Amino acid sequence: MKRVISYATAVMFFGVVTLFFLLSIFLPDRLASVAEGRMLMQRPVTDLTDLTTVTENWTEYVVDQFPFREELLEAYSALELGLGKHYTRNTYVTEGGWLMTYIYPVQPVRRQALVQAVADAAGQSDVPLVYAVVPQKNDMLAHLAAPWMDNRVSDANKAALLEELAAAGVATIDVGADFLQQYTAEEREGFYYRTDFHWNARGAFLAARYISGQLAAAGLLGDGDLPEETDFVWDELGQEHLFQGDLNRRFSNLLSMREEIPLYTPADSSQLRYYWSVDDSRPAAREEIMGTGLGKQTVDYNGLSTANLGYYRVVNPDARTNQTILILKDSYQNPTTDYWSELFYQVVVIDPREYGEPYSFPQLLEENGVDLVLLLYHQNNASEELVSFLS
Amino acid sequence: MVFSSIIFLYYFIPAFFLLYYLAPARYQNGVCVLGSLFFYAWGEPYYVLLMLFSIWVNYRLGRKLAFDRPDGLRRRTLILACTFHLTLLVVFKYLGFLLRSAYQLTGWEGPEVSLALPLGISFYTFQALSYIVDVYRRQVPVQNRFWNLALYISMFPQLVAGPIVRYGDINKEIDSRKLALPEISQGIVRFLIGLGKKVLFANSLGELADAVWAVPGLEISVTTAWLGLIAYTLQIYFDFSGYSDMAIGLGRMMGFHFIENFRYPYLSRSVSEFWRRWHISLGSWFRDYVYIPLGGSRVSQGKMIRNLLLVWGLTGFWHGANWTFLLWGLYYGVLICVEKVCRLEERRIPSALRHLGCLLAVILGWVLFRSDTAGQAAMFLGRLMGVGTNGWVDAAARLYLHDELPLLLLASLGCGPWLRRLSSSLVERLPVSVAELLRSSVAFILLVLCTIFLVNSTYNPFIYFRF
Repeated sequence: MKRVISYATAVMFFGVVTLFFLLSIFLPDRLASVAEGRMLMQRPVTDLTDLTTVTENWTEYVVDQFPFREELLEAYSALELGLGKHYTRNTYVTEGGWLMTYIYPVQPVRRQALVQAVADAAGQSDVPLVYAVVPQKNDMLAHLAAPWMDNRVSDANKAALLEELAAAGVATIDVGADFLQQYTAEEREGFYYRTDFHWNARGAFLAARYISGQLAAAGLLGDGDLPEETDFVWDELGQEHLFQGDLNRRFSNLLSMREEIPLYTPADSSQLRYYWSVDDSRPAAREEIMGTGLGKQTVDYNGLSTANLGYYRVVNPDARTNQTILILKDSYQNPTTDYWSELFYQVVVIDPREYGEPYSFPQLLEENGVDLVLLLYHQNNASEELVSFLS
Repeated sequence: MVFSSIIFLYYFIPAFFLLYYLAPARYQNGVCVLGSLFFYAWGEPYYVLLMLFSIWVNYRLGRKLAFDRPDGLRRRTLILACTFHLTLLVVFKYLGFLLRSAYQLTGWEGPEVSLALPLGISFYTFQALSYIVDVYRRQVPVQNRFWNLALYISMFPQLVAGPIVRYGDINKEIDSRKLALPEISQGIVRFLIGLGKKVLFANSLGELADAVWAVPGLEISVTTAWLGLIAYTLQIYFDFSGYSDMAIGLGRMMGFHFIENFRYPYLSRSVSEFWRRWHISLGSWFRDYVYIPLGGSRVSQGKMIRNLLLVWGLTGFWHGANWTFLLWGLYYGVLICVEKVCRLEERRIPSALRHLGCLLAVILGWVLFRSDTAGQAAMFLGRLMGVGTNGWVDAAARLYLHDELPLLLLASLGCGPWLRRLSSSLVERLPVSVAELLRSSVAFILLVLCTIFLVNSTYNPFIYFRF
């Protein structure tokens, strides 16, 4: 019997490893990992002149194409969540299923480069430039992850950025301070998605409204009322649609995909004209740029509003002002475009990470007839691409 | 390539062992050598030639030692061999560091030397040295076949992380060994236990330790500092002993029997005892090839202290090219000197006190080992005592206590024989076949869990955290 057991041990061990070995050879390669949100390494070209790279590439390839990789990642997530961990996969997991990312300190050198570039850009022309710092989830919902989430890094990042921008003479708007003052913790929970890095349309709208109020108070807007909630059509999609949170994807969507999905759209979008580039004269359909994911059963943050497009602009002949605003942004800006297009005749939106137009910043100011420049970034983002763009 | 990797577990193992078990006995050494060279070349495609060169020099000088007669000539050959191996080690591992230190001391701006460290050079150099010295001492017969010597030195189970195997321990098995199914089965189980130690415990504990040490300016609380240090203490044990278990298990699967390298070192009641239980093959190597030739303890007290400090300084330095490793080694040298001079092992001190004292000394020693600089080590030691901390408990400490306390407790239990004794006493009450089946089932659960963790360790999301 002992010999049979010894056979069983050896057969099972070698059987399992050999089975996976054979599966990895005969199963077709997969293109992408859903859990990781990236493309997987495909079969590498073997260049024998550089053996180190050969072994590195093949190692990466076999690891990426390991059989049942997605399922094994999911199993790990299930194990971690099942053990009740508060922090795993670089993500804080709270009792209510709220997910928040780990915040890294912004390197002073990087922040200084950003501030210098912004200050230089502000000084280049007479067009007013305002930097709006919008609040990240960790800051607004710190109560959910206390006492084991340390928010000092996030606070320090924001404080240092605002201080240095002010010292450089750049006008700033601190949206987070307003949120903390105006809204309770419970109300602020209604501004963010549980399983996503970002805020929802309600939070974005309130931020845009606050920013426009500050701009008006500074005399940077023309005459006219600021848009209010009643100027838009509001909808709640959470009953009929599932939400794909980017943080939930890290956990193979093991957390609930049911959450509140507020959405606001212009009451009448028929007069809005959208353009893909500076030189475009033929407008694109709204659906090509805004709300591209609305028709799907499962919606995500970018699909509800707009993606991180390098350049697009919106013209509204019926806007409340006849001004043109140039917005340089990160993804937190995406759900605010419809608000700005209600207020401004022309809204030019640029994401420096994807920008590919042949115009520099000063040229854009001239080509688009910009009256106001708004930088809209979340508090922990010291964007290197913004620095490159402005320089 | 490392043992705790997908590519080793699911590609190298099935391919190698299929060839190894199918090969006739007279070709198995050849398969082993080729497999080992492939294993090494996967991580070091160019330095594999360096290793082969080192083996060839050792082979030629070993045969010269075996056939030369006059003692003077033999001694010169031995010196030549030792010089060759130590020069290789110094050039590739220490030269850059020594030059940088010399420049800092003298203020001279000389050329920078930065050679990539060949994987496992510390281990295979020491194995080569032990072979040549044992041949010189006529303690082992010379190996007349180059590929058999290559097998001894390059055998992949112990090549990159030990144990440092003596030629005399396996020379008979190189010539002739039996592959028995129970041995292979036991080897598999031992390998999987080692894999579990490394992947499930060491890697997870390492994340905690790394997170604590990485905090800028070590702005941490006292509790966080102690949690980080305890995590590191456990990590390094499970990492190293796990790797030794895997090496021993793989050796058994091939018909080789390597010495044990760890014997519950955290149960030690003196620092001397600790080093009889921790990395046993390294301690015995320095004892047999450095300490005893210097006279060992059979000299005057002054010379004994000199010998101890020299050996422990070298032991520390062997671990890495940094002053912190040297300081760490000397730290143990001083402690052992104190133990020997004051005869602490012979005194009537309560066992629990001895154990706690030894444990504290070892844990604090790891601060030196883990830190990048002496300054960082001093800062960390200060944090342990409340100097410059963020209070007693901070958010990080609360998080670690919540998330990692079960792991820390389980790992602490795993450092001793209690789990093994518990499982043995349970197993003794079962029929042999059921006990074997249970043991094998646990091993396979380990394989599944380790695979999950290994795949997760390659988790590489597109993190655009600036979004």
